[in-house]
Amino acid sequence: MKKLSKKKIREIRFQTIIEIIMVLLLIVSFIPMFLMIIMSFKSNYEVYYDFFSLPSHIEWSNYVNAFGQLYESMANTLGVIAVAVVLTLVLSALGGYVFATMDFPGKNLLYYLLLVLMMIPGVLSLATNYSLIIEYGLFNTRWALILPWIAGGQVLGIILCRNTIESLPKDLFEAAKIEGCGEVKALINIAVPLARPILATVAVMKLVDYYNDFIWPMMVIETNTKQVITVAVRVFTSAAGTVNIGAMFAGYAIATLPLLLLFLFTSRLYMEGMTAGAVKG
Amino acid sequence: MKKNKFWMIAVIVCLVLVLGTGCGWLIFRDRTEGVEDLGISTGVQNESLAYDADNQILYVGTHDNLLVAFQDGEELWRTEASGAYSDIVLDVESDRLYAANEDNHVYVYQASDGSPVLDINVQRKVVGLDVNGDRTKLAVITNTGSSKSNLFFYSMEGEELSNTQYSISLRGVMYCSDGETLFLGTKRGEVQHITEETEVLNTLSTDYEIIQMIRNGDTYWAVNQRGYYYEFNEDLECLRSGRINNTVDAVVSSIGVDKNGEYVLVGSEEGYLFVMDGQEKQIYMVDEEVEITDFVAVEDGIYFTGHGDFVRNIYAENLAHIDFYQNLVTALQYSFIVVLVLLIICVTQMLPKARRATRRLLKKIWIHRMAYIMLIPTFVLVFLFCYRGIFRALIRAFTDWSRVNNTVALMDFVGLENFKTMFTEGYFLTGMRNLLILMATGLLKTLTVPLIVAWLVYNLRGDKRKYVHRFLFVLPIVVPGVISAMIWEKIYDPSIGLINNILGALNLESLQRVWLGDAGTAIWAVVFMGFPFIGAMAFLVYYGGFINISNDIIESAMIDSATKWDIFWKVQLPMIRPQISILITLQIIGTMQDFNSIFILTGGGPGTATYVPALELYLNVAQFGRYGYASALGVVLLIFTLAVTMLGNRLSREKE
Repeated sequence: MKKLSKKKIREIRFQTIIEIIMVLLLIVSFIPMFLMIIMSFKSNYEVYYDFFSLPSHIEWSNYVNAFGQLYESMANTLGVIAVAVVLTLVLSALGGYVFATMDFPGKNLLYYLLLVLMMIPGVLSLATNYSLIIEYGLFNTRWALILPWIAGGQVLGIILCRNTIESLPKDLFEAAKIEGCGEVKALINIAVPLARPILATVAVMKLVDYYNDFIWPMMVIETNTKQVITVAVRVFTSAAGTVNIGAMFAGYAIATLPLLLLFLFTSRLYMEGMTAGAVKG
Repeated sequence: MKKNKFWMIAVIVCLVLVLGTGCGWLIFRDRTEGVEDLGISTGVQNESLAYDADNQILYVGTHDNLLVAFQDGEELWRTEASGAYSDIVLDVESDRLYAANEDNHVYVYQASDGSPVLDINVQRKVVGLDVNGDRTKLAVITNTGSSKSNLFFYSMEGEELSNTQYSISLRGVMYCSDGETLFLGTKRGEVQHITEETEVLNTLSTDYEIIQMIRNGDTYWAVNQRGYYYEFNEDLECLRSGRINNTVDAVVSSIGVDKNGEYVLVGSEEGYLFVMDGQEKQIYMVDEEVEITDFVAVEDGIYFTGHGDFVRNIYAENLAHIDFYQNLVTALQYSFIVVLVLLIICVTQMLPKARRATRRLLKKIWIHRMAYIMLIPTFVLVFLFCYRGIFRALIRAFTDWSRVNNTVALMDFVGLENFKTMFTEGYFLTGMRNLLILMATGLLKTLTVPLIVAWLVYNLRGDKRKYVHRFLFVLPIVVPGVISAMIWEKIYDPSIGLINNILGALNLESLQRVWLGDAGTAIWAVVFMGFPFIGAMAFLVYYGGFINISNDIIESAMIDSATKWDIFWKVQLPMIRPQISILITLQIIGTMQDFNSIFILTGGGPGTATYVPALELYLNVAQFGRYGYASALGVVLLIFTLAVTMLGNRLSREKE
């Protein structure tokens, strides 16, 4: 009896200590976010002369200002990313299904051709891809973002979908074929519904990837109305500069909002996708 | 036997086609050549040109005080004044070179050896000059202020004959072929035909400032700022006019025509060069990066120069068909490859065994055609946007490909030159040093904090608590990486930054720094970004590793009364080794190619204090346009990446 309670006491002490450590770590890691939110509500005067105070009154004009500058590229970004994610999912499902269920000459070679791409650093072909985009006549069009994104983004999707579909019982597809179901029908009616969780994971991961892209859009998009939000925020904030710090942080907050909303609804998917996917890939 | 004959014929046909397309490719390659560098160097920025067709001497007036003569690519002589040679006029018969210089002087040289003949101090900035028909008078225009100009006449002894003041800027002066009357170009957009007594005979009006006037045989050309150009005769009758297709808002700086007066070339301050054909259709546009200042027609083309150390020859006639030939060459290239493959296939088909194998393979492919059809979109995209770029980079890393030298026909293989540059230029070595710092600290970051946090969360009691903590630790990734870097940029800000403000509040002003602007602290500021380094991905992967360890193992260890500490080191850590090795590999690869945060925080600065190779690569593409060199940097990064991946694989395999 005595021994057990001693163990219990030790356990409680341990739990308390790790809780304290974690709370401290959490506070520190949230500092940039807090800073962003607090600063976005402050006026310029308060930022300079009363740095640590909470905003004395909430300066909504910062958000009005930033949103006025950013809503166009935000709408554009969300549109472009929606198209790119949908196309990525279609390609991932198609490729994953073919590699998982069919057996054809050259299958391994083709699969390796995709796998190898995961090991090649993207910067290698920065100059050449830029010149190719100009050659294809895609420069300064939205396709200059979408097509390279999905070309690279589908690879991880195909790998994950293949693993998932391969783990499904083989009889499922054989039975369907005996009943005269074509490949496309089998894909749409059997594979896709069963692979829905992994497709959702791919969607979330790729959405975050595309949303975070910065250098490539900066290189291939020149017109402001076609620019993505990350670049637009950079342009806006370096223009706002020291003149309007609150609006600058409001711009950061606006750019963060879509991912925050997405994460609140899909956090489980994202966290599980990361835990499972990266190790297998 | 019959079949063998068939394949024999096929082989011969293919062989002929291979040779044909190969030769055609090589022959027509030359036709895609539009611009060729003459390979002569003044060592400074050039400004104006004159050409002696009989002796093939090219005179180059420079922006930086030099006047240099070249014959057959060799320097003949050079002389110096104290300003830019804004205009030079050559008179072959009297062996004189008249030069207007911005140091307020007009110089006359013996064209054959460069010895000075005359030096006139005009006391105003000289912008143009010309010499009359019997070589007795020099007409000189000067500019003082924005709208004040003078027209001087000097005798060949340097004596001022007359001086007329204009209250509008004059842009150019040129004698007519009668040798007595002149043309003046004005800022108001007019070309005036005047006598030497400055009586206006006639006027041609254009709507914008005249930039340059030139003579070509019996006719005259003028161009205005917006890119309208005019060909006119002595009576100022317009013979031809047109406009460049100015989609880039270029500000025109010069005009040139070829010997026959068919092709018109217009240069701009931004460095664009426009080529118009005889039907006033724009056939070519190229960006030369620096202002194009002068043209001169030669036998087989037009030389041009600008604010750089170059003189180039442009083959206007080739340009007219350059698109056609380029397409032809590309088509020939592809057909060459196709027939070559066909040839190989045909040769192998001569063996009956191979024939049977092929038939079997084709049958199999046909049965599974659906698989290939479904993979078409994937592989078309991968080919167009991944593999083409990769292969092209691997090849062009060995060429002098650049923004200026952008036609395949003109690219030269330079061997390992680009790789040598990395070591001689120095940016790469600085970059490597920083990269090593970032890699070492990056590894330290992934191997410590996320691992500890994952272990702590794993040891929490209760699923709900675990989930909430997991959620909170991952939540900061909703701030996009780029935005996070921008926030950290502000945290380091010297006046409104969190760090300096905290130090100020603690009365530690002496420790305040311009964190990102100080070469000593900048790279460490980059390292410190993201504190406390709870990488969401690493955290989740470690966590996944911990929960995959079966409970039995842990419980049996517990029964042996092992402490949590022991379990961590002896049981859990060895079991998550695959996760650790993957994270190490990913971390190294990621550090190697990611330069977003450095780009935002410091842009590589101050100076080159935070350069990394990937950033250097980007800057060489986007700013300097040295594409070949950038590709070579990419190849080096690729080699590192492959080495690290292989090493990682081997290490994790050995331990298993």
